[in-house]
Amino acid sequence: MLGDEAFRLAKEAKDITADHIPAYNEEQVRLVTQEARYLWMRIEEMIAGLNTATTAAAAIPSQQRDAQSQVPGSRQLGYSQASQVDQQHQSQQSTQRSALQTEIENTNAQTALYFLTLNRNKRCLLAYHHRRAQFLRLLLWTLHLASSMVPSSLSQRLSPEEQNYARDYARLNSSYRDAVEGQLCPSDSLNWTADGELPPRDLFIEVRVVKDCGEIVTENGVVNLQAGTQHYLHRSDVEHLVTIGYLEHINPS
Amino acid sequence: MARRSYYDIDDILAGQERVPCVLRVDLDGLGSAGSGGTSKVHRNARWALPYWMADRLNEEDYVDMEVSPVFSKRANRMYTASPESMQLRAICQYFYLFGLQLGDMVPDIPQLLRNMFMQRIIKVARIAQQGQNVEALDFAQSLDKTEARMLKLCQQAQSSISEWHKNNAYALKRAAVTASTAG
Repeated sequence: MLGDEAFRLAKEAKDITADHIPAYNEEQVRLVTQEARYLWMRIEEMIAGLNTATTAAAAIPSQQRDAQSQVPGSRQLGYSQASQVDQQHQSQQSTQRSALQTEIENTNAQTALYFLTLNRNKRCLLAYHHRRAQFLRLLLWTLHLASSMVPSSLSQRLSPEEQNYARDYARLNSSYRDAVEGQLCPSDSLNWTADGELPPRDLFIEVRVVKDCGEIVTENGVVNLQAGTQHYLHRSDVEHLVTIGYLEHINPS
Repeated sequence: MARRSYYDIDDILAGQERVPCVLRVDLDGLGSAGSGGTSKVHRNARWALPYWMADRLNEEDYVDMEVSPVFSKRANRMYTASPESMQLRAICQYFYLFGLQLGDMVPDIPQLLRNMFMQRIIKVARIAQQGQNVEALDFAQSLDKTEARMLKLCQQAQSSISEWHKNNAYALKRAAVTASTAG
């Protein structure tokens, strides 16, 4: 049925959860846009056809008048015969007209249906891309706007346009951040990818290194983060590494 | 008219539910996927159209849309009589959203939905707190999508409370995205 391909896209968009995104279904998107283009072509054809059909329908009464003007000669034949001929002509014309009108009505309805489907396709396409872009933005903020940190298994599932979108979004945010940094916190560096909604409990946290991070610079000097070691560090220094998963927060309970 | 956002996926999916219609004209492209959409359906034929199609065609009088059997009079009586025992997932997965969309046409439906939701949501909250038992599992199977989402939220709240009891509430967690997709 019309609009089924678009429905499949909408279902795929529904599959996107907080931690999972299916691959960009280029094939399905192509099918939907193809259907949309075909529908638009048909709509234009049908409207062109409608114009000729309505002029043809308007022409029918004039044919009827011509037919009647040929009949007066038969008035001498007798009133009933003439009226029979008249009726035949009229029923012919009316069936012709009603057939044409049915045709016009069908075409109108068909055009309306195609137009509806077209809008539906458009809506599904837009919603699909909107949902994916939403997921990407959330992902970038959890990765602290480091677009290079996107796991390769994830970036495989994104289309090239989406990868560009992710990079540009991160870059845009970073440049904005740099521009306002001086004004917002003159003496410190601005880290606005830290979670602003959850107030921190401790100043220092205990972390265990899961993946080798190399060295980080803290206020107390350089710390070497080797896999398997535990450190007691400033929360602000290592928070982002915990989110990405390189470090593990150990909770004293 | 409670029309949700244009981009709302749930709204799009709910609008795909079929309603029975009587066609007033011949229409093409209504065939099932197998026939490739080239089958013509003639006037005065009964056909089940998706709601988004049927609603607008009904306005133009190209079809006569009838109320979906999900909200027939008999069904409505059942809903008011015993809302908690209804198998909403079997009846219609997007029961509430679909009902809201139909509510423009049939004014009784929103009130009915509200009563049903109010009664069922109490049970949803209760089984979220109870944990696993047979009755809870059966009921959880019968929820529609909206209620299922509510159930998940309730369960998440429950687990947050138990985390807080264990003094684990403020632990920094690894972001879910990176955890599931780590290479």
